[in-house]
Amino acid sequence: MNVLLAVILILAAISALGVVFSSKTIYSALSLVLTVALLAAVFLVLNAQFLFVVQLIVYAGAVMVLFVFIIALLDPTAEDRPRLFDPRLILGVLAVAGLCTAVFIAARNDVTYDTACTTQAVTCMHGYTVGSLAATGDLSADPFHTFGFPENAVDRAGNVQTLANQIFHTYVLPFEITSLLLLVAAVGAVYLTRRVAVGPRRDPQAEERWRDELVEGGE
Amino acid sequence: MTLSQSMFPWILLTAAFLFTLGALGVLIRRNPLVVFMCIELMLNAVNLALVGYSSYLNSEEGQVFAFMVIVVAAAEVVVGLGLLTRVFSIGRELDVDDLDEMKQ
Amino acid sequence: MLSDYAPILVFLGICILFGAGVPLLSSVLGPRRPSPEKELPYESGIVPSISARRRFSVSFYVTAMLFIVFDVESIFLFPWATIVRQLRVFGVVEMGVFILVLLLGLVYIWAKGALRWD
Repeated sequence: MNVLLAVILILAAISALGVVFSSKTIYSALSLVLTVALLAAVFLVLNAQFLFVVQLIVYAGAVMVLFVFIIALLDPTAEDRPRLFDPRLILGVLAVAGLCTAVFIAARNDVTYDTACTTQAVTCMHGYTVGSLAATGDLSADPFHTFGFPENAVDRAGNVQTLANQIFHTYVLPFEITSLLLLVAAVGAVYLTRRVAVGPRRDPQAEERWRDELVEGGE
Repeated sequence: MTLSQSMFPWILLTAAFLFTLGALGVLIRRNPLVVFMCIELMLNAVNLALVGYSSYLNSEEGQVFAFMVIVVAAAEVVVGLGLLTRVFSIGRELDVDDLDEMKQ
Repeated sequence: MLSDYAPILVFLGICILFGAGVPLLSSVLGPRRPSPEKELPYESGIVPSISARRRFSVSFYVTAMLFIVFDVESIFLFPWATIVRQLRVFGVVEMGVFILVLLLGLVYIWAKGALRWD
């Protein structure tokens, strides 16, 4: 199972490279579809079944379709070259390597945020040792225990029900505010696209010529 | 649980890689559409980290946050791409280096 | 636990095999007598009028955008439906408020005529 996860993660990293370094916009979009689908598979392996479905429906199903529509609407053949040989690229590559190394070393060594105040659990939420739970399994020692997560909360069957309990009990206000956000998005998009003159600029003569060429070539 | 705990550093590493790669893309690409895709990549990297932590710390909250991030990203894409059609319809070239004014 | 998804994996494999295998088989086994008419892009049997490599109408975008917004709304309905019995009246009220707010958006979109094609 670890091998499966590793393969998915490596493939996701490779297709993410495709998003950034593709010369054509449409290739970037298709690479992003692949990345998103692979991350959905990671969610499934990590027992986040609901997020797996949401990721596929919202991201791979809707958001990426919107991206492809926009590419078709604006300029289907657009090419864009990344700024290679640019100081920003070197800086960016250094940042990629640096942050990745730092995160990896930190995660491997169970780095603590603030070891000085682990004793006062209430005032020092950040003092929680990331790796200690995994190492000792002692739930009473960590402040997260006070939130009352049941054992194996994530692994338990019925991921949708447990998530729904969180969304519709604990996070009622964020849930309601989300509706406002979606309202603003819908109104904003309708406002922004009102009477836009981007439609296909039809040129009857060019279409006629194109059809003639096609039919002549066919005879 | 053994699965995610041994793989957790690698999940975090992939999340960090995807995030910084997205940031790099924002820096080096000129087409605002690709810049948008790189932002989506960064949001997805954060989601991966959230779900990885959720599995590692055995807490549901990370998945709730990841869900909210997906919802917000959908709204963001709708408005952002709407803005791009607007920019295009007033006859501007789609290049982030040229789009340096709020009002033309 | 993950092995529960083995049937889906098998199903996916069969889909890929079938999708890739049938065109491959037909290209290998079938007779191939190309004629210029057969090489035309297929458009439901009529002669295609314009090239496909042209800009699409903005109406497609507006439709896709509205789809995303209400897609996300329905995504919220699904987990809600699994625990609506435990939530009782509170659940109905909170989802009622949620849908009401989005209904306002739908009314605005409708009034603005964004649902009309062209």
